[in-house]
Amino acid sequence: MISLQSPGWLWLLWLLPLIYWLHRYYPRRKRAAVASILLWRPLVASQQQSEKSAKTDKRWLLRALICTLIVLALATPGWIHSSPPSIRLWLDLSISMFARSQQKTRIDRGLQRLDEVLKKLSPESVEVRSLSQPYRALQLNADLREHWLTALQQWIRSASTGPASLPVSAQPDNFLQLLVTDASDPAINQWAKKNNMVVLVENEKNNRNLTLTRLSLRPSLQDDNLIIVMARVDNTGSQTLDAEFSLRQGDKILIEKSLKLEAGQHQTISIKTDLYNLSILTASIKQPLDQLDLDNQLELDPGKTLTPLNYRISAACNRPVRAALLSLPRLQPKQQQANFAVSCETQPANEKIPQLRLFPAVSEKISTTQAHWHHPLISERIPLPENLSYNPQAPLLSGVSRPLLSIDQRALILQQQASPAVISSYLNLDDRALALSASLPLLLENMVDQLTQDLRSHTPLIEQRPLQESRISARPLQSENLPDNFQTRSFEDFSAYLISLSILLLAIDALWPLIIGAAVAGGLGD
Amino acid sequence: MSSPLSAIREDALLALSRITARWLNSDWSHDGGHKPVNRAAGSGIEFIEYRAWNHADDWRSIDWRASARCQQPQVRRYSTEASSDWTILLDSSASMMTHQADKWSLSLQCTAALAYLLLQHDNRVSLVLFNQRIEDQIALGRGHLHYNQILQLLARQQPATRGGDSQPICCLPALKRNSSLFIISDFLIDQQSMQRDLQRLAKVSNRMQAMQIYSQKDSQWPTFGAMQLQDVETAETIDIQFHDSLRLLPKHQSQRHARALAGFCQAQQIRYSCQPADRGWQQTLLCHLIPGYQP
Repeated sequence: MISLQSPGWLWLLWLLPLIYWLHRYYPRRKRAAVASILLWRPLVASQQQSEKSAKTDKRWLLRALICTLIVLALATPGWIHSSPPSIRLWLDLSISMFARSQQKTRIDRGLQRLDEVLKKLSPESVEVRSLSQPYRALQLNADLREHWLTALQQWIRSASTGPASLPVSAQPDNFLQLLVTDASDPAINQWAKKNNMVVLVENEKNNRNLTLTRLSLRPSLQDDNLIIVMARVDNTGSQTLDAEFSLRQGDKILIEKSLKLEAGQHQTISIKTDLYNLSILTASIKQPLDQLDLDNQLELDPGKTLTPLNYRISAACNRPVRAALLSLPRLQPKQQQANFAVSCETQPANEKIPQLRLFPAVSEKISTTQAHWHHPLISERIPLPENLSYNPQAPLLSGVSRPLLSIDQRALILQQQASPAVISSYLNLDDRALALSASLPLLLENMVDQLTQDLRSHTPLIEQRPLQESRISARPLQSENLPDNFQTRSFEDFSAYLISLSILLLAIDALWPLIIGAAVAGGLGD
Repeated sequence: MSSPLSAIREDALLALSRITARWLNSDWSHDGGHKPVNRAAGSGIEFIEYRAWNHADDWRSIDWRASARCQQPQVRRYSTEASSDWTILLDSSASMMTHQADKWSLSLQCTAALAYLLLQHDNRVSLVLFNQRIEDQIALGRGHLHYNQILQLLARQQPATRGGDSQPICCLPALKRNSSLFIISDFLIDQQSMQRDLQRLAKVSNRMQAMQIYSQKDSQWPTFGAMQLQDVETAETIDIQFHDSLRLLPKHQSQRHARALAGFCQAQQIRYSCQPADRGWQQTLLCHLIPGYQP
């Protein structure tokens, strides 16, 4: 059967009137000198008569034929041959495919379903590849059709399981592509959809669906030293399910708990933990029957929750310091931020209230040299007096102050862990060495800049996942794109012949004056 | 590029001398009914009378039979053609220069040969080159010196490739009454004006002959497809499209034009011949001088 692969090019045939116009009117008339116009003048009238009587313009027909052939060649005509299909079978051998239910794994059920499909399609050959190791292949030929299932099972046992390593493109040449999966991995689902695959899904009729849907974190309202971690597990399946829930922070297991959820129920697990530990929190669930370490987990970084809520700079400052603070561009009334306040009130000397509260960011580290204080976020280097020392490496212990910046053994900035979320910095702005330092305005400006840049929202941190993207439950896909009577089609392209013929006709068109000249010269003897 | 005049060889001209003498003294040369005037004795071929031999005569000219009859040496006297004045009108319009100037080359050769032959038979010859005006001319004269002048004029003459219409009537002031005219042209002009001009020239001349030089290329299609044809003389243009049905029409038109000219000349008793430009000058002259000559 002749078919066109790109029939849209046929719209170009509408350009034929334009080509006729170009043929008829565009070529400028060639000018030729003749001895006398007398011999040619009577021809004008004859020509008009002959034009009327001329039935066809052969050159126009030639050009129209060339254009039509080129357009047809662009439309890629060809002959379609049908033959029994060749199948390329992709197997999802991820861990979830070996989840066992009713003594059968998902891959076993997928193979049973595959067997039914192969009997229906009767393919010529089957090339089997796994998504975990796409470079490994098993060839199943038609003469051993009865042993295909056994060979497949043996091959799967020898193949290594693991997460999918998806090929960039699986466009078939002349293959029908089948994929056996539980559709639990969104990446695989997307890949299969992109490559227009027939997807065979074995998901145990979707009656088991346990999902870790949410992991959230917020500071405790009662105790500044604690944060509250909450995890939520949903059972959207149709069966009561058991699961083991665990929550870890770094290497430390915070909680392990057995869950039993009725169909449609959910359960929230809440735990308080120390805020000092900034390791990543990891919540996971697994099914006790399968004893499989499923990749069904959510992670949170508690460091992101330690964002300052309010800043208050107050210092027992003298007049130069007060002037320096108030002259900072960021602290001008128009530039002030809502949660940042500066006051320069005179405070009793013996009252150690937090005068400048600094909150550490996880990734920020302050480095120094003897004569320079360089902050990664600050592009400038601030020259400091030579007798000034900066000591960020000293341990910061709860309840114990450490001198961050000192001059001649006198502390200019003292830091103290006031609470797990708050580190207070005390500035002795009355010290003459600091107050009279030429670097004071720059030092203050950079500290304020650092504080205002670190402003973050104080919303609780939540990591959650939609129900349908749970790694333990399969999506309800069912043998998508499976054709009833698939046959491999091979396409024999004719366009090359048309292009060759067009080129030949183009050559004739180019040589047309010579050809006609020769014909006329041959006819002069008449 | 050698001059077309270099093809004129004297031995070939001498070979034509006898035929020219017959032409000048026979009816061939005056089909128009005019009689030649001043037929004096000379070196012609037409016999006039016998006379007694004298020492100035060549002894080879003695007619021995007549001498026997008269008992004294007798010589034959022949009429001479030197009694005629010939004016050759050569068309130097731009149309003569088309197609590698083949018509112009042949016209130059025929003019030079004709002038030689006429001068050899003691005719006086003048030459006028014309297009829409007289381009150049040489007055009546005879002898080798005069022939050299004619050759020099022909050699230096180079018609323009553009412009310049063919109007023979412009030569009228340069003509001597009752002289003989020999017009060499392609006659590619309007029939009415051509006939009017020829008629007026015929009236002032003793006898007139016309040689039309035509080129087959004039009636060939210069190119194919759509084209704009421009007259090299008048610069008039027409747009035309080649079509196979029109292929031979210019040729037929050219033949019609020549037939009309021949008919007019016959009616006016003007000796006329139509000569192709690709023919040699000897054959061309023979065809014109000898009626019915087939090269």
